[in-house]
Amino acid sequence: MTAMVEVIDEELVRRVQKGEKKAFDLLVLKYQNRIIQLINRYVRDPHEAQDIAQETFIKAYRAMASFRGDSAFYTWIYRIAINTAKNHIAARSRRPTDDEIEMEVAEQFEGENSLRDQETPEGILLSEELGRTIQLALDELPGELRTAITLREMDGLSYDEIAEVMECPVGTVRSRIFRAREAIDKKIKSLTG
Amino acid sequence: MTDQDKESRMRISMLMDSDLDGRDNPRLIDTMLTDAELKATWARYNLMGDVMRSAGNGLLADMDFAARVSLAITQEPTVLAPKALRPAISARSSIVTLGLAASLALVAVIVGKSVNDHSDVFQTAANSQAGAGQVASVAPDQVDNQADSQFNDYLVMHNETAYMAGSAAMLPYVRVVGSRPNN
Repeated sequence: MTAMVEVIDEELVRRVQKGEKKAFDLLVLKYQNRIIQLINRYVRDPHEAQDIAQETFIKAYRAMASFRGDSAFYTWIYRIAINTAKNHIAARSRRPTDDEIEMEVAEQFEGENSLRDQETPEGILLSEELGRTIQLALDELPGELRTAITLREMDGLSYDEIAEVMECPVGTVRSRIFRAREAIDKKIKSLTG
Repeated sequence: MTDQDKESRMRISMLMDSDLDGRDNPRLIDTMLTDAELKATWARYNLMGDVMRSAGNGLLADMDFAARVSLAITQEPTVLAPKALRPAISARSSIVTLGLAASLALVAVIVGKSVNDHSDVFQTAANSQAGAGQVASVAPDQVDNQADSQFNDYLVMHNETAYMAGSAAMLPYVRVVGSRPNN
């Protein structure tokens, strides 16, 4: 796999550092799910993961002036996310009474309905539906489109490498990946409003 | 969807994969920032990759997440660009550079003056040696001592000045030369 330079990140960071706040929106849209998934691996709480992720992005924005581009933006923001998650875990462990109360309440629920499921916000349920829809759309794609998008998104191959694997011109790879994205997009557009 | 929309969406797809010519990036970003539909396309295209990588089991941001962050950011003070800090740093380094340049210029003046002084001494010594047969009262050792004394004065002065100018690397050499015993 070739390490691809995230040129888009560099451009967006440059804009934010010049005072263009809206450019930060595109960084959030790009990294929101990855950051939330990363944080959720630490806190194991979808609701808390969303809150910590929001805090992470705000911290990142505040620290943007000090970001010199010595590392990639995603490396930098991942570090902020991990530190923020660890701080939350540490703060949570300093509140034993809260945990005890939570345990007592959780024990009141029986069967498969956990406290977490009851409290899952509507947005998270919709996200789960989105995930299922995308997975189904992916399964319905013609083979060459599914292979192209899978090699790109899951294996991180560049267009040149995909062209080599699939024995086709780079232009064909570009077109297949775009068509795959468009096909999936049609399925999820109605869900995302 | 118009051809122009399709073209823009294809370019977003290429941009995500770092396949777009860098010169086209700024224009496309400008378009995405002003066109809500293209911005939403950017979000959905990224979402697809995230879902695929997490095999559909990963937690996703709720639908209002980006909007909440965006709202919070609008209430934040605008970040200071690092470039704004650079002039202050370069101004500081310019002062240091000017200081060094001034010190070196001072050393050059002193060296020039000293060389002129020494040329007189050497000239005197040369004249003295040339006429040694005629004027027995001027001893060669006396001339050498005078020259050494002036040269040592110069080295001591250079030592002090060079230290101020920051050229400490020359000091060991100066000390060796200055303290070398007469042959």
